[in-house]
Amino acid sequence: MIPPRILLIDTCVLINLLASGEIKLILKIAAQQSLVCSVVEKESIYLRSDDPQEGLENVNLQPLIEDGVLTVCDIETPEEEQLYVNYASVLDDGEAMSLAIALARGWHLATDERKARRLFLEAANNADLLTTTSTLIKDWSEAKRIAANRLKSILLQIENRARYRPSTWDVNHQWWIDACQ
Amino acid sequence: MEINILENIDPKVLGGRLQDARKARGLTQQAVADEMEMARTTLVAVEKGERRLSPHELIKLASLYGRSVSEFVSRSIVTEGFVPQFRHTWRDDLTEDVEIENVAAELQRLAEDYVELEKLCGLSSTQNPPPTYKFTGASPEQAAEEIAAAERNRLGIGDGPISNFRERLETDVGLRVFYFAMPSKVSGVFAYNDVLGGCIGINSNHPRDRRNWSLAHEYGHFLTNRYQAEITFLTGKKRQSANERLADAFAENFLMPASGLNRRFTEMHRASPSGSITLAQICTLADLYQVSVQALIIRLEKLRRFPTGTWDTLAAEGFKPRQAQKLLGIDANPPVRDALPRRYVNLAVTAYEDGHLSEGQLAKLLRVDRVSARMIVEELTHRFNKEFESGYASFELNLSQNLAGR
Repeated sequence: MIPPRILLIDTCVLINLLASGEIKLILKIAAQQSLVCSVVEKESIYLRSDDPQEGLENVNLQPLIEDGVLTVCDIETPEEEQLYVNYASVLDDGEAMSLAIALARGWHLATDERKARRLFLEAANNADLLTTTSTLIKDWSEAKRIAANRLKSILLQIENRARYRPSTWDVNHQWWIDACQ
Repeated sequence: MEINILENIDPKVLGGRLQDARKARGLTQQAVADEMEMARTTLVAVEKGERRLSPHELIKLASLYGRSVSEFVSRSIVTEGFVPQFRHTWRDDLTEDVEIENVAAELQRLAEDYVELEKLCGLSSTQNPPPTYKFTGASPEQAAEEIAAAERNRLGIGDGPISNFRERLETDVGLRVFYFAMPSKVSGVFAYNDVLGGCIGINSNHPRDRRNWSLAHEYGHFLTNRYQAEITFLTGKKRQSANERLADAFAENFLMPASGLNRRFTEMHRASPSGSITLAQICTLADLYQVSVQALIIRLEKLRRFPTGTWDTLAAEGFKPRQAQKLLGIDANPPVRDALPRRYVNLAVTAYEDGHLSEGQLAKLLRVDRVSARMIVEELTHRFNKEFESGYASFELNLSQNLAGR
């Protein structure tokens, strides 16, 4: 069953999901609606190419937006503007806008960012509203009973193309390591 | 966050940053006021720090100027920036060319970022600047020779070619050296103030030999006239002033000290079966000193090891140093390896690892995209597992760790 939530995705998680090659399937069961804020939409997102000789490749989000996988949201109220500017003093603009919107609207936030998570928890005091790359993928793999080999391949894609592995503080750190074996 | 950042930030500081951003974008106050649907006098008051901005106005202005909101509200460094210093000396050049003003602004941003990182990591600056050398009575060229010798002596680097020139300036002199893209006519920039210290920007698009020369040239400015911001043009523009003559002569003497170069030249002469010096030897010697073949030959002319006009004759005959170096297998133009100082990168990674910086902030500080930033963190911490035939092996080698007390 799809959780009855609206999920705002920060750039760090978005990059990882894009690198997985399965972003559509993962987000399909992650929330009723998945969004990115307008600053994140405009950010230049690069992934390492599958071919090491090729360097980095630019990712275009437009097809995902046109397909309705992702919806773009923006700051709308003076309260959100105030939060955005305040958080921009301690985060980058994409992170600040994501935090401001998620907090103001009570949405769930997907971020692997330690500093952003700390600030979010200070304001919202509700860890249930936060999720991570590893939780999104773990939930998807369990719900859809993804074969171990396929899961390993997806996680290694993220490690190689996005250079990401969950930190030791991430509750799914060991799960990820084991799944990559 | 309980605080309202716009009520806590000094409106004069914010106004100054907004004014710099507007000018860098090439916009007039009237054009911005029209876009913002406010009176021009209101914008004037904002830039003077006499009127506070609302969050809505700041977001809109940042968008108009093509800047991030964080750029205006995240910096805690309060100092008169380099841009006014450049404007004071280089008003005509900055007015006619927004690109040049952007170079000055980027040098300031990099320097502020560096100082912010030091603050974030609880460190003081490595700045311990040497006293300014005086040169009254002597010609700029004579003074430059004396200063170059004195400075080499102070740094204990003898009279040979200098290895790791940039690292020496950063660690032993305390200069902040950045490489970044500039208009091709600009070789480098230098500025100093008591908060940000001595800062040098070098055009990363220029060849290695030119970059080295520019670095020594700007270093000469730092040693002799540090409170005057300098822009060095490639084409001899503004080269007639005593300061510029001194900086160029300093670069020549510092990179190629007469005693060491004469000694090497004599040894080369002795070792040559025919007793003559070949172009191949000169190309190799230029590579050893990391200067251009042209600069080396002109230097040897001045030292009377070659007749005056040797370089001009070679150039007229169509001699191409790059082709010659290629034939000799000399890579005289490797790309810039570290655009940012290594200490700067280490501080940024440490601050990120300690949770003081977000990933977006880290990427912005390192002037790279996020995945490249992750790769830099990975390189400095070696946190990733390695796959071997027998499976995975996990190891961690943190190159930015503190070794004190181990």
